[in-house]
Amino acid sequence: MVLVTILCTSLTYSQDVSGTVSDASGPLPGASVLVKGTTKGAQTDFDGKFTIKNVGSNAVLVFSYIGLKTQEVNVAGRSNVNVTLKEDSAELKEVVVIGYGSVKKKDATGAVDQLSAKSFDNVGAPSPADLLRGKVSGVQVTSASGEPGAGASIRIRGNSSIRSGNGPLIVVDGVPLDGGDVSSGSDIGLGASSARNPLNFINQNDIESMSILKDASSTAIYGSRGANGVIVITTKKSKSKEPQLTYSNSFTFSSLASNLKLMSSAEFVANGGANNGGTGYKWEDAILRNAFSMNHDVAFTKSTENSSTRLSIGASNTEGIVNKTGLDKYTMAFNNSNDFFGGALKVDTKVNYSSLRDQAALISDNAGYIGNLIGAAMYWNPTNKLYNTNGTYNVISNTYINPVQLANAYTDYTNTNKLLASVKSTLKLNDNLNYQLLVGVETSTSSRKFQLDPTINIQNVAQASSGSTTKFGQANISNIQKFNKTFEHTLNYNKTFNDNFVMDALAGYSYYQYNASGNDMSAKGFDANQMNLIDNIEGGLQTEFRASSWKNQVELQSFFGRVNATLYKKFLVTATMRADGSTKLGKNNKYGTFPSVGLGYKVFEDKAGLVNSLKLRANYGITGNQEFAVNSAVARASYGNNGSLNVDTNANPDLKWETTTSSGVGVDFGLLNNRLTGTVDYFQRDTQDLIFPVPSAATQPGPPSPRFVNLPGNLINKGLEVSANYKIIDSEKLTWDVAANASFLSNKMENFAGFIQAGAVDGQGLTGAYVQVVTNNQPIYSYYMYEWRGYDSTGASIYADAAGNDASLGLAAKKLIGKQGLPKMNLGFSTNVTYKNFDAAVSFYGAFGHYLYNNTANAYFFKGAFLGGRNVPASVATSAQAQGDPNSPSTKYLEKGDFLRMGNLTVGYTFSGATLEKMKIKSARFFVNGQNLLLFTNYSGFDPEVNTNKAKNGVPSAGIDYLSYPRSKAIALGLNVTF
Amino acid sequence: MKRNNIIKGFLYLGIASFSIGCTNLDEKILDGVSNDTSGGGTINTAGTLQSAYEGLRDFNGQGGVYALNEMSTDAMVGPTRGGDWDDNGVWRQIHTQTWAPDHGEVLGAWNSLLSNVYKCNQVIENGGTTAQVAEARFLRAWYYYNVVDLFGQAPYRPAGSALTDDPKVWSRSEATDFIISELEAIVNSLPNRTANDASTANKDAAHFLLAKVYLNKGVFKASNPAGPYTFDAADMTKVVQHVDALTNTLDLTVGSGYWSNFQPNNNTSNEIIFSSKNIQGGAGGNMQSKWRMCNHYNQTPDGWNGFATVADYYSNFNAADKRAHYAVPGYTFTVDPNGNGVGFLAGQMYKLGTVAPANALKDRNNNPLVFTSAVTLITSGATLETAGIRGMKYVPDAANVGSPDNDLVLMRYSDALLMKAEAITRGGTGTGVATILSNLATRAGVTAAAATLDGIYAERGRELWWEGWRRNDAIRFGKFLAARALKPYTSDAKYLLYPIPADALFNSNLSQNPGY
Repeated sequence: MVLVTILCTSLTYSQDVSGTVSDASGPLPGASVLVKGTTKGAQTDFDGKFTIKNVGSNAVLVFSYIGLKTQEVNVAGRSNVNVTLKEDSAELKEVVVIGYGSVKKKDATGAVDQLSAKSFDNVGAPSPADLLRGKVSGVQVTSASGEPGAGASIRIRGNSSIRSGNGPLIVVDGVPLDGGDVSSGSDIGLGASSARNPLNFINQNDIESMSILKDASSTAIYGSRGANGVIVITTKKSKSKEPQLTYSNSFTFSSLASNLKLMSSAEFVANGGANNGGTGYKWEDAILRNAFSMNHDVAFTKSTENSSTRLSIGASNTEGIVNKTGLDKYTMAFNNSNDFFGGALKVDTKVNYSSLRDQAALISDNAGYIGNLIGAAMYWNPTNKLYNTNGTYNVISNTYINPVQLANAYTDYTNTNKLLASVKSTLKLNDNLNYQLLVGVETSTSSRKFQLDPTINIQNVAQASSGSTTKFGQANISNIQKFNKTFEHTLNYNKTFNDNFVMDALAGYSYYQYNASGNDMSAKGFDANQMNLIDNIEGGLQTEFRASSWKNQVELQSFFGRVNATLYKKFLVTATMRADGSTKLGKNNKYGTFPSVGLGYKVFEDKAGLVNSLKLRANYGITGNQEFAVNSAVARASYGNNGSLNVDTNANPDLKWETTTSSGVGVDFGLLNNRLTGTVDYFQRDTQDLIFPVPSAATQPGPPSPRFVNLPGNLINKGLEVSANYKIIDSEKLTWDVAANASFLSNKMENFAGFIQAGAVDGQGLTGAYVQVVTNNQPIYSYYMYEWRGYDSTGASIYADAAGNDASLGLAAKKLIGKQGLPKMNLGFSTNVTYKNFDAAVSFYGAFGHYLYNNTANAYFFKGAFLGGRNVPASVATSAQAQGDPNSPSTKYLEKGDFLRMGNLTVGYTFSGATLEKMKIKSARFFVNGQNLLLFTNYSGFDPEVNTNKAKNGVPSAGIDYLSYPRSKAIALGLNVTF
Repeated sequence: MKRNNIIKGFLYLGIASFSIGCTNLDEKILDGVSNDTSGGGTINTAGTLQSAYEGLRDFNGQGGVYALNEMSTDAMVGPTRGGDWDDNGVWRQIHTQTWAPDHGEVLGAWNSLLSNVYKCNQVIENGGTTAQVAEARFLRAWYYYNVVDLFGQAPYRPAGSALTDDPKVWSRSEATDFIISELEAIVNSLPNRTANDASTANKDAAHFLLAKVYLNKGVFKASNPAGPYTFDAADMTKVVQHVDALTNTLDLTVGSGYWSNFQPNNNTSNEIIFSSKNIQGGAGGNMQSKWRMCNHYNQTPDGWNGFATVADYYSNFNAADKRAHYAVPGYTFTVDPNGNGVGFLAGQMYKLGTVAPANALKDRNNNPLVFTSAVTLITSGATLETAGIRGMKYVPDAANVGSPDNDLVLMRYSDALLMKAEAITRGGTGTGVATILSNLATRAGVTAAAATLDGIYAERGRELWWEGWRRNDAIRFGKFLAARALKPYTSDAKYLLYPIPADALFNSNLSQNPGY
């Protein structure tokens, strides 16, 4: 090729060549155009135009621009060459956003991954957490259920805390979010349901990139909140010079993905169930639907030489596959950047407003015998009619609920309005020194209103006595207000002393204030004809009104600094230090200090041959975790009814952060002309001073609430992360990339004296039951239960006793069975192909090595339930189990959780040509996207990707599935047009 | 120049907001009050005392202290009924005396009793009025009495010690001495019992509790919890004296005199010495469990189809005994074949209304709802839901089944009289054993029990059935560990005390009770 080019060049004559360079959004100023093999070249002007004199007619022009793919074009005798440069995600990755700044990927010493908008393949994801799933090694995202907008747990490099507070710190445009729930949960008497995902407020189309800071050298700059990793979200800003309008939409059709089979009415009767005459009942049909969702986004951008503005408005309407569920979301994002005084002062303003309306069904995490909506729909005898001949509901009893009646009698709306705004002023003090002030405000109001109509009678639920009559119906209203302030002052010093010593340094002070308050009210016993209980709550019985309110504040202040130095172009050093103080801590331990150091050595860089680049990294650091309830360190009491004063917390003036000491090594490499790039990281994290509420039993006589202490013990997480990216084909017409990542994680408690119960199991006959523990020499959330061995001749379950012999339930012994709820391996795989105007992408992800506890089967699928008139899977109805065999939690209900899912499949077509130009359309792309079309698993429940909130005494669980919202599969059609 | 000024102004602004930001990080309590008196603060003693009273509501439910006292004996069993009432085996373990330190009900009882001790301490040590302090000392003695009875040793916090210190521990003997000295110190400072409301600490209640502690002193002070127990004659005489000091009277009306103690308006009974107050439709404990823990789902009032009594215990009652079967006049809320409302429910159950075949109830498996005397720990077959005779000790409040008006009886005059009879029989000075036994039997419509220890034990089992005293009595009479129908073996003596809950051993001063 080179030879041919030289040959060709030698045969040519010279001419002037001019043209326009643009990118997807329009003319591109400042792009570089170079005649290949020469130093001759030009930069494009403000309108993207360039001219180069005396160019050979067969010369090759090299067009390049940071963040876009470099293109070579043969002049081929033309005097006018117009080029549109494409975005290159690999190039974009070159600069990664880190805490308080950014760094060139090749100069980074920490384990940082960055995901740009380009690689988001999830269409209309309600939360940014969904976009990360399977994309980044070492990051595990588990949705609580398949509900739109459900809470999700994000774990970066495992769980470093034995109680809640394992989630990463999320920073949006420099403002650290407070991380707590924005909206309220609910409980009408059939179990509690969790709050929504607090990240739902961000519109995915406003996200430019998400940086995942994984190791201590990159997270220690966030000190006491960095132990669980940090996700830095950067929103989009204007990149185009001329006004540009982008409209995109998608229309999604979703339906039940699971194949959980219960008996049909015929099977039910054939297996001996009571025949009540009805046919054709299917639980899916009773409460599920084919859902239709849509998304519309409009973004407007414009820039001048010293100002850029982006405004976007998004509206989405996501229907859940369960009737009467869904999420309506309206967002507005405004981003303005202005230079003043010739660039000496830059002011960036970002405003992000969202309004969410969330509708939920009665799907709780800890329903009992009566069930929640899913439970009632599943246990309903399929020969029962749903309606009587006169059109009224067929009511069986107040503990055997008609699912359609339950669905229709329950109303649950959460309205959440949230504003996140920040102003960042950067003042250039001299060529090397900048001062920056960031002022941020995060404020939200949320109101959850839910009611159960007085038309339904459920035992002990939503009813009250009035004289000698019972009145029904209940309404609850829960409001949460949040108001958070961020002030950050930073000084940046940047200097190239000589080729062998380049340095940048950062020093800063931050102050954060997090205010939360709320109130709850409820009433019971309404007039039988009243329907709008939540909007006319006065209708309840006067004696059944309840009200409560709460308020708290947390303040943090911090001093921090960082030095990045590059020595002899090969050695990289990053050292950070943060001192954090918080009101939440005990008065003897108000401040903590969190240092870290990261080292890098570039063995090769841009070298020809097989190995093109190789960088070794090592890091060490200390980070903290302070996710415990406010007022945990002080002695606190509050007033109850009739002036009684109740003691709430036990003081602990010594309470301090949980500290995680991390170390790790990593290798970044580029092979085969940098077509194969990848990273391998090994890490170890040791968490000490574990924050744990010591059960009140130990502090008695004392307040009935636990006392937060720092328990002795070490929680060790070790892991290996591998990710690789291979450009198999990279030509003008055809490209084919493959990306894969894998993480292996082990987790163990050491030097720990406790035996802490976790993983509550609920349902009839399961009060107080639990199946997981946190104890020494075991992974956290290890399963602890009876080992089930089958049925004896009478149909009674056989279990193992302490000696390992067969035993009846009365003599069985619970034991650690060597299985864990947390996956040992997570995989992600994706591939992209473009051919001319077509593009196609598919991505898979999976988790392996963990076990799921099927609480649904435990509580609902056993012989006695069937013989008691409830529907179950056919295998349960025909099993050898005796009617009276109790359903004690055992390995009978423990299943492998391994799965591999095709998360997304997308095919797109980008239009080009004269028609578009006629319509003044700059670009247009049409796509079809499939979500969750394939799933490989042996799990018998709805879906192996599940994590029902089964916390016990504040200790969370992992891998327990209980009557959760089923997951859907979906097909989406969409269009992106840029004018 | 202008540019420099603006830049300077901006810098000053930044520095100004820097200084606004700097804060001392003192924690604020915005939705409560500080309970820390170390810095000279005060606490609301009236409110805290109120809260210590509300702690008595924990005795209302079917679990906790109540289950530990009744279900561990021959009086009550909590069978597992297929998918119902397995609950990790907690109920079976109590009845078969096979509990372990991780038992949830044991933990619940420990936390409930001792957190209320703490509330009392708060009132006593932080400037409560003389009257408040006397009441708090009485309540603390009551909670500690239960701790000593169930667990033996008792943790305590010396006045003024920091909450961060591990509590110290009294031996069973030390704690018993403490309870007696406390009660004797305050008995005369307490108010007289108010007519129509025995839910406030009063002189009678202190006398009753003193009688109870003196009666059990031989057990509580035994060097080995398993005995032998020595009942000192002087202690027995103290029992008699404290019972004689009571101002209560016995309503000798046949049948209804007994049941007036358990009706929704039982606050009017002059026989109740001390109670936990419940207000219809308002604040109260889990009093509904008194009928729901037994009643079948299909009965009225509907229940949770749980606990039952055991055939041997039921057979202690004469068929005519109005304490075991009674139709409360004007009250037909629950219907058993005899048309009786309350007491033990056996045989076919009926819908409200007349006892007629058409009104016969069925269980959820369509079997006749016939409560059988035969019951096993894990029921099965046709009697899966119906095995076991059910008990209805309280008269359900038809006006509000879920949040009834019935107060929970914690101390009753019949109990005091039987304690007096027992104390005299055990060598105390006093008279009237035969009269006591005769009065109680006559009111119940049966013949009097023999004036022997065995006779008194049997009479206590009948008069005080399911009132939370069976374990205490069985231990004092040496019957607790004995083999019985659903526990066909003699238990290890360690089961005379419950284990210290596993969670409590984070307190390094506590050691586990022997044998666990």
